[in-house]
Amino acid sequence: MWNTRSVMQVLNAVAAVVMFSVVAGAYGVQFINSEVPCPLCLLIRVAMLAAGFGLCLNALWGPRAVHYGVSLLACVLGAGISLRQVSLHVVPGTGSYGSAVLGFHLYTWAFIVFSTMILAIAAVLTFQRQFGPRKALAPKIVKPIAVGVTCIGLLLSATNVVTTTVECTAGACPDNPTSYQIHL
Amino acid sequence: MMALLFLIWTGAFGLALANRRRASVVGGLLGLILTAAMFRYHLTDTILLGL
Repeated sequence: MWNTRSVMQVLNAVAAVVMFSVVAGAYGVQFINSEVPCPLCLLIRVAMLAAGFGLCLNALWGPRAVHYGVSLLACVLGAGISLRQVSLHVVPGTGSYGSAVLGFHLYTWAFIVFSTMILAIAAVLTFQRQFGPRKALAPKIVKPIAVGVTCIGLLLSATNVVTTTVECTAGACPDNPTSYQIHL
Repeated sequence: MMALLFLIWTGAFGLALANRRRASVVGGLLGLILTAAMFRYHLTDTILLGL
């Protein structure tokens, strides 16, 4: 039966897909434009996955304060990381990292996405009924959607383990990487 | 080290898919703390806090 709770589960799944699609887009830039991601770029990806993770938990088990808390903390951390990278290049003559997409660099887009997600979660938290009793069963379609989105997050995270190992090996990633440390 | 961070998040997603809600939340919070520590490391070359 559809109620506020189950609708919020689907909305959280959609929001998680948005966060994961940004990471997938960063992968596209990495391989299509042959750009090696910097350490801050990788940390932004981690924060994107983390924000999506909290939303996946909401989609899987229904909205809870701790799930939203994980997403909010990840968004604040991600906004801080992306703002740090913006500040490194904001002074004229300091250059930029990577190519621009639709007029903005990826770290600027990341800051916009994190800020928007913080506002969106704050707005969604005003719907008190989503935290109500869990007696009514959610429609059957909700669970497969939630599991599918969580699988996307797992897949993206696992592929990042491989590509980051190829780029940085086991040590710290170089500040301005120009090539992968493991040549395949 | 960065790959280890992604590995922790992979584990958190895996726990969520294995129906281990509490463990996945703990894994996620641990991953967030380590992400913040890694951010600090890339800013200052240390993760230690000092007054």
